[in-house]
Amino acid sequence: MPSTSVALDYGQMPKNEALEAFAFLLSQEISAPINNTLPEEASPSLGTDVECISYELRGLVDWVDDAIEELDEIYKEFSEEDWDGYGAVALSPEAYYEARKFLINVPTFLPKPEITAEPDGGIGLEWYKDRGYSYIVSVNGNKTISYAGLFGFESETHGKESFFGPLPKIVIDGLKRLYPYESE
Amino acid sequence: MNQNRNEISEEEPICRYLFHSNNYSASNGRVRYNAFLPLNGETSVFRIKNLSEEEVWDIGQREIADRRNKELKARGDVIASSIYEVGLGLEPEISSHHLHANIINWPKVKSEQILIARKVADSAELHLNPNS
Repeated sequence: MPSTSVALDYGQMPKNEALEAFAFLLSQEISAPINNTLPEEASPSLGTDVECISYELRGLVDWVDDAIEELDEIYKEFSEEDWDGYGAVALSPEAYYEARKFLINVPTFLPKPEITAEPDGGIGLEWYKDRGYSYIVSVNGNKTISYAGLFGFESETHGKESFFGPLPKIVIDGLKRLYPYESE
Repeated sequence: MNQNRNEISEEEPICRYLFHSNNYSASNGRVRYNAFLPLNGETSVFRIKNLSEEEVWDIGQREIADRRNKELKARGDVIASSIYEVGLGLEPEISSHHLHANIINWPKVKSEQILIARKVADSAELHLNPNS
């Protein structure tokens, strides 16, 4: 039986189109008989003449739900004092809500951050690329974001921004600086 | 010249005992920045020069884990110079143990603390507790 091979080069498509194409492809796979092939005529623009299935999902599959689930676990686990053995402060509900708000609003071109509990009760979100290349956002329930970025030799930044509504531009710019290709 | 710097030489190995997996990434073999963040202006560490691996783990177990009913999971080792290089100090604090010390001179601003803790963690070597 001939197998159908489809390659979608999402990197070359605008995000909305790419999502639409991917959703269409999934719906076809779900509704089609098992032995059927993807109808080439249904989506001639998808380039069905390529031999392997290659779904490049980076930046398209939303990791936010996973991250919030992880945040929930962390909040439960670190809601007691001295979780680190050195007298750490318990995470506060306010810090949790701010971290959640940040995760919901963060651009999805980014990979999922590591979520860390800080000894003063803050919650950190860290995008770690390599030694000397990382970006950390910290919230503590006081409507501010502390951020720190390392971008290689002698290139670094840190500061504080108020956090009432949307993410501060300086934070987005810092993350784009760490992930210049993903943000294009 | 910083007096503390005279007491703990730049070559001395220092360790931070870790009691929660959120302080390190075992899969990537690295210590996370939050492991070194200060509480009340200092970070508790131990001097481990000339100690065997067994002795190093034993100190963490007896001096902290047993006393605070925690499981000693890992430790992050750094050379004192990597602490001095980022502007921090090391001060022996021997009231609980003759090898205990604190990382001091942390800046007051949280974002700067995070930046420095990230740098210290970058220079740290993760050791998982073989007995954990």
